Amino acid sequence: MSAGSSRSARLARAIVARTVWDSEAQDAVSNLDDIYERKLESRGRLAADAWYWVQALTFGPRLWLTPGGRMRSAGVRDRSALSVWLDALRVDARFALRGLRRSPGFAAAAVATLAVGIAATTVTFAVVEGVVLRPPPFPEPDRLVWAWPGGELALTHERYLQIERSVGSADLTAFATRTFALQGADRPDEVVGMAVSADHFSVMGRSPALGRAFIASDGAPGGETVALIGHELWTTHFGADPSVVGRRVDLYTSAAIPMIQGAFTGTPHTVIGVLPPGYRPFGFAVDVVTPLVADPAESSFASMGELTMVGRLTEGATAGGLRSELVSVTGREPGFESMEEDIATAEVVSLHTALTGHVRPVVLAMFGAVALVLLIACANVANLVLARTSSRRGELGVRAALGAGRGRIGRQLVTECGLLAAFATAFGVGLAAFLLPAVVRRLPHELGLAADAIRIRPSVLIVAAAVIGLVLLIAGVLPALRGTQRLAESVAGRRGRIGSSRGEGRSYRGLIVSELALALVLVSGAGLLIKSLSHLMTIDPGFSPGGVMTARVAPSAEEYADTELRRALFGRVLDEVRALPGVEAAGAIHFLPIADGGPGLNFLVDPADPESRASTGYRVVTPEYFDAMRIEIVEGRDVSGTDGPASSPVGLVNRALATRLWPGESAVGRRLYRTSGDEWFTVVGVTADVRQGALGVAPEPEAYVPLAQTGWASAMTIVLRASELAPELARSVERIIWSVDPDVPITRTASMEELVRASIASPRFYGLLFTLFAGIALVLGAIGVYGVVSFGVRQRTDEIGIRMALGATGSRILRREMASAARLSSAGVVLGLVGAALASRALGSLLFDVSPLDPLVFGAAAAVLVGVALAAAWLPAVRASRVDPLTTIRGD
Amino acid sequence: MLPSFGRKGCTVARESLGEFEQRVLLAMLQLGGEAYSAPIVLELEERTGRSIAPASVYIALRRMEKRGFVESVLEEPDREIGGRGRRVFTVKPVAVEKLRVARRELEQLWAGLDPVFAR
Repeated sequence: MSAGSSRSARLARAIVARTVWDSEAQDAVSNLDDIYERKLESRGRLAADAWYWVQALTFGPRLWLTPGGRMRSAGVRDRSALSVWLDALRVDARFALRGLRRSPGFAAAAVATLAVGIAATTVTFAVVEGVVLRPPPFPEPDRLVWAWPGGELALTHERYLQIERSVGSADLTAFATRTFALQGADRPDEVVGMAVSADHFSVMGRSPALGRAFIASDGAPGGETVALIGHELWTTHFGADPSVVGRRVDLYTSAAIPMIQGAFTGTPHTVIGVLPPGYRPFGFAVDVVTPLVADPAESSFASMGELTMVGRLTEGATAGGLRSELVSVTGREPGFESMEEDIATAEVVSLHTALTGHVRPVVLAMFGAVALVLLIACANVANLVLARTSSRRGELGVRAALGAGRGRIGRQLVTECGLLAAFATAFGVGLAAFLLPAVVRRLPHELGLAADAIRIRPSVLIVAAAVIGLVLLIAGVLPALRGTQRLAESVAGRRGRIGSSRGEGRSYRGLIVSELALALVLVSGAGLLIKSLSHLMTIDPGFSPGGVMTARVAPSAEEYADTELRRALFGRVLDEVRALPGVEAAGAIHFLPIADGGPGLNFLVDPADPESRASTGYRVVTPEYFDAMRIEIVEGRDVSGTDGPASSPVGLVNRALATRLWPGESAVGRRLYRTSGDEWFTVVGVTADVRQGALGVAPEPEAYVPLAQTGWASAMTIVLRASELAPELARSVERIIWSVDPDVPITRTASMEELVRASIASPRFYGLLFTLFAGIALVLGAIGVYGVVSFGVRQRTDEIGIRMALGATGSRILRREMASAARLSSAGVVLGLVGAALASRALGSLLFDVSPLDPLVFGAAAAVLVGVALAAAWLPAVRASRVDPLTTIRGD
Repeated sequence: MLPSFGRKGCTVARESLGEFEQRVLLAMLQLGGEAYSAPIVLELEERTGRSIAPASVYIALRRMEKRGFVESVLEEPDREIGGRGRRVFTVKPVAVEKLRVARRELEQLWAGLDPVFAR
């Protein structure tokens, strides 16, 4: 097929190729391809794809069902056992198709229900597989381990080398995350990457797609600065030009962590190679990789560094063995004394676990939910099939009486169920192929997945189809066979009057009760997530996001190594932004609340007691930041333009810090000591508490210091409040920034409201997903209840008629039917509440400020379920109350 | 153990051409008397303005081959342009004769009916 064909068309084509079991499948497919091409040209993709899907579903079956439709080698009449069997199968299939065509409602309901179940399962499993189950794409991934996940134990380069030299049970490598400023392209940009030790590629077992890997001399002090670039960056910024290898490009290390001297290289890098496409070794996309720079200045940090260790276990070694070796090695080596306790408790886990562990519960909850949907769908179809078999007793009885053996009738029923399953699978797969791209686009970023890792796998299809086949067999074939003999004997007597047995009624009711119980589990799960989401959305973050526009500016370390230059840059930009029409206030902060999370920790020492250390975060701000965000200053004053490098250092604290350090007293006028800044500052104001990390995280104690009095030398976010957030406002701010310096990257422009909304995108997604699943479950449950009640009414029409002839009123019959539906649904509720209580624990990590056993949510979910069940029972119950006693009696 | 109704269709129609088969043959002749199935489907769709199920054409061709109206060869795939083997069907003279007879019969039936259809 041509390059222009879509994934959906390719899938349809594969179905044709597999359903035309002729030697001529090639011919059929080539011809269909030709016609498809023509349709693509004349009628567009959608119509052409739809056409191919019709062929996928009809071409093979038509050939099979038509005598002479298959190609036979001329003159050979050798009929093997297989061909006899296939012919018989064809006859059965034709008969079954005719049967299904006679009851299109049943066929459509069964196929649609199962197809929805299969599609949901297939899509969700594709995600689960891509995110959690698939091992990272390296040779022998089982041997790759992550030492000390969790981030508390980060090493300096020197400490890492000490360990690496002494450890024998694994080949170790180390990396640190870095950001890079890219200039000279169509617009300046900031890209993410990492610095790695030279043996990175040999340990990971991959090599660059182009150029060479690092060699030991690459990280040496004073040597040439070299880098590998990511495949995507190579394509987007360098036009996939192979000659970029060996060239010097305007790529500078941004000052991510100003304390770490080795990060400042200040010179352009020479590209020595290109990474393989989609290379994300540690769960994040990597645009630039540089060698770790061995800078002696780093050793001034006694314990804390920035390196993460990853290793490949040597033959026969285990993660546990490496862990104990690390403990003993660091116990021997000097310099690890302060970390001893942490090292003793830190784990060594497989790389796969380290990368996917945090999303595992979420993804499994998702999969659990969809498995429930599939179960409900199966229960529903089982019910449909049971009811149909039961209403066909007459027909089956006649066939049995005429001599059809159990085997013959069984084969007929199996064929029928097989056809249903085949249609459902085909539609389900089509639906899944259609839905998957849309779902992948909406997946929360925290799942950290590469979209290309998510594909529909045959394994899941086979599992789904097998489950369905089994359900259909159990529901459709066994009960029918059990009854045939008895039926054959009684059929001569009274054909239409063969009622359902007690046992059969029990199995209907059992199925419905379990279906309702499963639906309740989903509905209450959705309820919990929605309640949690509504809590998140109504939370007061401590600032007012409406009317605030933000732009993150990340000047490169090379040009702005001098802090004075940086201050001047932001000063000029802010002055001009304030002059824009409609702008009420404008300031800047180094870590924007909600979007940037928290800054690194710092130590504040209470001057009254030099021994007491209070660890807290600090944020660098400019004047007017608090005005722009409408953060209340509850005591004292804001930082002002007069708080400069020459004047005495000042700062603000938030209420949480003030209360913690000086409970019941005024904080204004107190002094604090910043260890990293080596200076005292005086508290001039107290601000209200702000939720910095995320909406769901309580405010932490914090301090604010003015930009003019710090050595902070990296990205700042401009924050402005305007009377109206016109779309061109963002463009104006960008224009101002680039008029001051055309080379400075602007890495994010967004309104504060957008950022707050984006921060709860994941809870919103999970809420939506569960609501969708719960909705499907409720609809299926309602169909099930409707089916069972109306089937019961049909079966007992005679009984009801006689009751009415004996004086029962219509309203009494109605009450009786509704009462039986109420009994069914309350049994479902009781079972479902137990299930929900057990299952909601899995949602625990997704809930904010809601107990997994919230009685209100559970009560509401139960009420919804009972309401839906009774509504579904109403129609058939009314029909029962209108049975005409005369018709019944005459019919006897 | 085959039920007899399974293959009734084949024997009855051995003598004459069905309407759809005639259409398929005519489309083949329009294409020069020799074609594989895709162009036949497209030709039929173009000339009748209706959509045609490829499976019907496929089946008709095979039935006619069995009854000796068309013959086919499996083309060797052209590896150079990445082609795959296709079955090329050729109309046999006996089918052309059948079509001629069918046309004559129809024309005789139509003769003199123009006034009826003019209204």
